[in-house]
Amino acid sequence: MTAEAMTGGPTGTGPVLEFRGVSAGYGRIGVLADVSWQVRRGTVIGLLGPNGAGKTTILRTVCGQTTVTSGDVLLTGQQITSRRTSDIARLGVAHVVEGRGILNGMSVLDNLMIGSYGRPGEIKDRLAGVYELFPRLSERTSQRAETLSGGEQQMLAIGRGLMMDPVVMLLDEPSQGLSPLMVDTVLASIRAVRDRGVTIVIVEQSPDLLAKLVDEVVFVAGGRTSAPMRPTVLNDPDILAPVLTQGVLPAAALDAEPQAVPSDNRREGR
Amino acid sequence: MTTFIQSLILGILAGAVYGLFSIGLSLSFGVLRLVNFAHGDFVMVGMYLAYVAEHTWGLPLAAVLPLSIIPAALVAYLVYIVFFHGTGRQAEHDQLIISLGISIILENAALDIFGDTARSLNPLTISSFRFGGLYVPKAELLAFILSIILVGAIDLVLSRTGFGRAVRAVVANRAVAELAGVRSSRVFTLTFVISIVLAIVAGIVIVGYLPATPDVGSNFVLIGFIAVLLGGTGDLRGTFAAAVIVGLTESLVSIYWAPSVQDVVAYGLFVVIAMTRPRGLFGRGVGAIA
Amino acid sequence: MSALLRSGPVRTITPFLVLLIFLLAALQWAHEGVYEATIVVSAVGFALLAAGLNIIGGFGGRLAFGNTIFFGVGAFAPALGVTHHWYSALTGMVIGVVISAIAAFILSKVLWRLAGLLFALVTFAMSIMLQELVSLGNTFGGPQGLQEPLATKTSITGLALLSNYDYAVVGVVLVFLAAVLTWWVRRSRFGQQLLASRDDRIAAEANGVNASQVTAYAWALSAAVTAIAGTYFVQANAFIDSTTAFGLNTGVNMIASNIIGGLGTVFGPFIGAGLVGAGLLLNRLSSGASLPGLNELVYGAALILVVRLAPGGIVGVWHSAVQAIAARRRPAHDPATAEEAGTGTATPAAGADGVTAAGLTGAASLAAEQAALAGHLRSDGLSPEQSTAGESGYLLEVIGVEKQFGGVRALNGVTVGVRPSEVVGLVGPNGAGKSTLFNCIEGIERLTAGEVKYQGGRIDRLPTHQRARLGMGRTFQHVRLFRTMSVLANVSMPLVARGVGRTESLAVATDLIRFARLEEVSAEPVSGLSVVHQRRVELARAVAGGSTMVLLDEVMTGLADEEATEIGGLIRTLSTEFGVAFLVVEHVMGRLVPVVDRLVVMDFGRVIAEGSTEEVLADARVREAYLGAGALGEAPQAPEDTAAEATGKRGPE
Repeated sequence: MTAEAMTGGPTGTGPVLEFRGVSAGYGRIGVLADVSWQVRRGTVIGLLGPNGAGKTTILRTVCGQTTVTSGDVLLTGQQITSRRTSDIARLGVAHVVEGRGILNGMSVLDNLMIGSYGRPGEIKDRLAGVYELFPRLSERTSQRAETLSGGEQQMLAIGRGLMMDPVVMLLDEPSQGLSPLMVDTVLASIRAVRDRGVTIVIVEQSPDLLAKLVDEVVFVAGGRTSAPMRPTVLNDPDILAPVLTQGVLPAAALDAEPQAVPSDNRREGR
Repeated sequence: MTTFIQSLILGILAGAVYGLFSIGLSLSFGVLRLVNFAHGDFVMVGMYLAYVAEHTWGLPLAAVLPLSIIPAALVAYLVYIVFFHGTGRQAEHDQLIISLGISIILENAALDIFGDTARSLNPLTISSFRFGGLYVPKAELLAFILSIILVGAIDLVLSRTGFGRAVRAVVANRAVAELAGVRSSRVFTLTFVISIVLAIVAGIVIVGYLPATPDVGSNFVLIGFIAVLLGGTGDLRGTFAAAVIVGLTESLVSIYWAPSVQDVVAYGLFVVIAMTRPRGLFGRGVGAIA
Repeated sequence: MSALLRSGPVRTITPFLVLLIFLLAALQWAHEGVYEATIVVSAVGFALLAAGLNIIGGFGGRLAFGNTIFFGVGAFAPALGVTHHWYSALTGMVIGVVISAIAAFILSKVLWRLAGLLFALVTFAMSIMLQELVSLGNTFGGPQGLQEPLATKTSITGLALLSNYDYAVVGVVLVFLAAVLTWWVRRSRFGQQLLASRDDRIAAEANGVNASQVTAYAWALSAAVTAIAGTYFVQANAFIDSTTAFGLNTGVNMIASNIIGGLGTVFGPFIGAGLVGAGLLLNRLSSGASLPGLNELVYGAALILVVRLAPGGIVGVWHSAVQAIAARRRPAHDPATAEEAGTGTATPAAGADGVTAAGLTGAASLAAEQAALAGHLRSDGLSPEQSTAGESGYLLEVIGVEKQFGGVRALNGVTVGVRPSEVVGLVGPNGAGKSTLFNCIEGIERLTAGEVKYQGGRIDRLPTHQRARLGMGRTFQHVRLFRTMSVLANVSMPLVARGVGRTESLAVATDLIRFARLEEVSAEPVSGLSVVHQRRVELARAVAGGSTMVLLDEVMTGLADEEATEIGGLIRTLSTEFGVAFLVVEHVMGRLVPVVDRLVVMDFGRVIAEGSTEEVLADARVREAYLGAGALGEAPQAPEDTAAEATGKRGPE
């Protein structure tokens, strides 16, 4: 077995992100219980569950922002359990937090440029790419970020993530507080990000956004995760209702077959 | 009228130098949320440093300044690592008390070494430039120019460089900055070092026109806090502007009322502003020191 | 015998005996000569200063760097009277104390909104201002200060004694009294409320404590003690100047004494002051002018070391040592150990002295015990007299409440009611406005429009602690307990705030603790408890004051299923047996089903459905809000027309 295949490195086929029996929480408060989970390269995974279930905690655990009491977190095969957040970010994890995490008092350009701080490279190219994806931002480069509308702020947050030239992007409730029109725009931009070969994990409370976007769904409830399921379950109230209103995970795991690439214009994964 | 303009001139000159060390305090407080009571005492350190350089080693001011930067930075780094690193989580007044302890140590070390007689640099051959009925003291002018240059440089670094952006990001939202790959602990260390170096440099130029005594630090630190609060905590330009305002106020009060009252007025201003406008005169501060 | 030694009264008296012995020894030493007496006098001055600061800074949590203001006032008032022959020293002392107390009270209210650090700095600036002002002109003696004529005879009105030794005697008495006063403050109802305000202002107010009032009184008391210190100083030294009175050095010594001894403890300030005062003076007098600053260097270093390594000061180190020894000597867990451990750093409050958690049965079956307990609680007065509902029949009414944050409308006309003894669940997706609604009911947020009524009367203008006193309790999303206090002290707080007597509060609190199955940890400090325990403590505390209604903010979040069920059971019992009404916010609807009488569902800042759980779950709008449009197989239904909903925006949660 080559080193690369073992580590699922840049051109390997291993999972981009992996949890092995992870129990984690905040200080002495435990949230996640023995979570095992894998995210394959180039896929878009949805994490769905009621509030307080641990979805955000999963994302924060990836970024080293929680207390991990057992288990391992791996990024392209590399151990990142409990490493410093800034170090994990520098490995290529872009976390777009709930509520967007805009840097108030700083311009749109500054908000974007900070994304490239830990991952130097062809910054001009990245910036051009972001503006191409979000032309609205290029019109407002010197505007203070907090004056942007909710949808524009979401685009800015995603743009900043892109400036990190990420391997994986984590999005926490990107549709929150947005009108249906804006949600569509955000949807399109997430698709575009996916098309650039970035692996994406989206956390949502409501199935609407996920239904149009994801390759797999994982339900989260009570600090535990279900096996991955096909996106068709998002239209099935018999599966959704117990999870979202009772916090009960679906019993049977409907195996998701390795999906054929749904869209044509996906570039080669990195 | 000339009296008025004269006092304006003196006030602005003094205010700019206040601005130099107040910026340091603003950085320390704005970025690290560290209330450094010893900040004024580092100004004192700079004052005595210049004094010793001139009297013992025969070095002129022009040489002392550049030579002192690196040692000052080292000292600041040590101070941070030994005293403050890792205290972010302790009770809020713990850092204040640590800095109080440092202040005690510095002031008493100065007292031991230099005694309490005032120490000054040798007077300059040309003490001031005159034109019209006005005079501009040379030492203050030099200090003023240096302050403007340094403060301008800091402002440029903050607004135009990657590091400056990282500092602002940490202030705006530390967690998000970390998620973007900014190592906030390094930002803190470096910012503290800059803050102290600014204080020491301010001291080096201030001793040109103010005598050095061991207790001079407590006055400076209060002025610094006044400037930081008036200008809006976390807003560097505001702090500088406020420092100049303090300098002007002191100068006007000193000339039109009495020199002995100038401090009282300044402190009174502080108290009133803290009570009524915790966001500072310009309303741009990040709120009361909370 | 060992039980006797461990009992409360002996425990309390012993440190005072030690202090007394030490003070007598100091007096004995002072007898030997003027030099020795001077040192004792100086140490006394420091001790009283430190004790004053400890009351507001240690117990109250407000570090008044500028307490030196009152020291100066207390010193100059008699000095002025004596040197200018205006009035006697005794009158001067009274004037000084009264002015200080009143000034401190007013200042406390004026500066209430300032955060701790800014408060410290502002009071410091005020003191320095006074220092400068007082040194002007001649009334106060200019920079040289005032010198009183040396006493020729002992006089009470002149507060004059003949020798340093006499002053030392008086001083030692004052110190002992100050220690007693400090002890009394700490264990009094007033002190308990002060500590609660310090530990968590918001939680204190939510439990009926008028934090601003209590703190103001504390500062007034602190100022009075400090003023007396000033008077003592000026009379014993026959001299005062503005720098000594108001200056930085005095302030630093005041703070350092507390820090080194242990801020917030009873004996810390005295130990610290003894060390600092005696140490400083010893050095100054013995080494002459050779190295005037050396000892102070050590002093500064000591300050830093203490803060970094032993933040609890000498007393803190002592407590830790005692705890460590006790833990090692008795590995088996039993109530006595728990109590000793609990009385370590978190010196317990009302009741824990001597009264252990012993007296538990454990033999009776659970149900029987709960029934007996219920009877107990009812006779304790827990069950409020028929809680008065308004004419509408509702205990709590939220009518057409709107809340705007800038451009976002978080609440869009919410109308909801809770009847006496009813348990109402409040659910809804993120951003629906649940927390905002809670904050509006509580008083943490002001309404943009609408009314909140309780027992028929409007409460939306009342401060939080008054709403609590009316009978509204609450728990918090992130548990807010008084971290330096034991479980028992936490639960007792609402009773303390209401002025309920000590024995009665103890009885009610103990019963409630048993009801919430917390007996084992009753004397433990809350900081060490598990989340489940903490939530139960919060629940017990919320009910303790005889609340007629409790707001529960995500009380089940983070709990395992069995734990959530247990708390649900407690809620249910409190409702059916004691008539307490509840408004419960929860995320997972399912957990509320066995607990609530009625569910209210919110989305987009307003109520979208209400009724029993089955009714609500069957409601199409609810299903869409939770399960999304896709699940219904149809296009998203347009919600009823309001500004927020037209844009489909959800507000901040």
